[in-house]
Amino acid sequence: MNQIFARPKSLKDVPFRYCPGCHHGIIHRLVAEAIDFFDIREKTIGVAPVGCAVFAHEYFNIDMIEVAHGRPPAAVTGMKRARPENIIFSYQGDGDLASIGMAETIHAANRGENVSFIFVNNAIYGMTGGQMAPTTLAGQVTKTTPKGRDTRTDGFPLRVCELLATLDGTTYIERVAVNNPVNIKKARHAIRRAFQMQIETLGFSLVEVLSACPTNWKMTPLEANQWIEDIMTKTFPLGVYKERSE
Amino acid sequence: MEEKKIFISGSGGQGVLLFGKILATASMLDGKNVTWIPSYGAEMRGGIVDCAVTVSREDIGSPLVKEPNILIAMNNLALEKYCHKVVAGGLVLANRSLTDSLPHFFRRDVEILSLPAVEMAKAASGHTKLANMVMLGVLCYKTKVVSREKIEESIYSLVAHHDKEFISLNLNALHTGIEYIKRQLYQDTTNNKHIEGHTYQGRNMSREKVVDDHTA
Repeated sequence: MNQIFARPKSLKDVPFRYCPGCHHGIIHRLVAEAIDFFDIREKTIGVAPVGCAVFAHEYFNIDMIEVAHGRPPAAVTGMKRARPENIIFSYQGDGDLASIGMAETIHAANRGENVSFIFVNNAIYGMTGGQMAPTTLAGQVTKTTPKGRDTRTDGFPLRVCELLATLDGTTYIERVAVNNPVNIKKARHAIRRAFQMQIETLGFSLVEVLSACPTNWKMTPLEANQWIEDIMTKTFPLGVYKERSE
Repeated sequence: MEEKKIFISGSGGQGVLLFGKILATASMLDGKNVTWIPSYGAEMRGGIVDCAVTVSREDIGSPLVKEPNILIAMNNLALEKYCHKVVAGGLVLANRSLTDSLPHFFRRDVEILSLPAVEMAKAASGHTKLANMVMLGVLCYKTKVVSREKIEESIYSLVAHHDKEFISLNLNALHTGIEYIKRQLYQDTTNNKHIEGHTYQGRNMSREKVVDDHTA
């Protein structure tokens, strides 16, 4: 009998501890599948974030390191420059990549480092209890915006894909979601493409994945998936923002 | 009253921290010195949650409790992880609803009380999450660390006022725990249990005794 489905080799046989309805589980799987697809597990190094995925190294069956909040872009730069033959990727949330680490992100992208960034955008600070993040939508209720984000005092949601696409140093930028099977399929291809870019030494790639946080959004997992579909994609449209072939 | 070092452990959502806060607040209202120190993981839901409460008439040197004299283990992991840290002669309250190991085999030199707190909470209040209050009732009546009145007072001040219904449910669960341990202690005295050659009368319980509550 043919086996048509299995756990990726790049994921350990341990249960995830993420909340019900969290999309980290799906995204971990897609990243692991991409690593398996290119058969690069033995030479891939990942950088785990600070946030709910802080224990990503307990789930991914590859070499991983943990760095200070926001600093994965610096760490991947150092590792890739020292070991260009390794495949290096970072896995960050919106606080990590777009708030405390915004400078690191912009400059690694601007330098066009030949690395892959997986950016998990749930429009909120998850692990710390649901505070406003740079990516929080206008009007969205969070712990620090109980009346909804007021753009006059709290600024506007930060669109990372659009921002980085303007930098000449970037090669491939796409925004995807994993809230339904159609989107998961597209996300699978995008994440795979990000690793492919690095393997072919084509430069800097980033895949932004819109992700649910039912716990802090105060929704059920199904409501959260619907909210991504109906509301979140209006502020963060899915699609390819940049794709250079050389 | 010697310094009581109480350690409560369970998983996120079992009300471990609230248990400690109610105990600490009640002891404070009782004029004692108290410390309360939590420890919990990064997970937004679940995970391991510990809470150490120290109650004393004297000044308390440190809020950290490395060797508790009382352990409340709300689940199996807590029991297995911390049972060996309890000082000899101490007390362990285990939530039998969620422990699959037989706790009596862990230690012979501490008293281990194992009760089905989750089922008791469900029967008393309709909510399994009030198992912590059942355990608190047992703790307070058994060890006399603080009176029922002071516990009730602190439940009134700590349980959310917009959830007034929950205040009475918490009290129900608390009283269920108290009634349970009252029955247990009464049963032990009337049965005149023979354990290791000792006959028990009244409330004088030897430190070597293991309380078996399969009758519960």
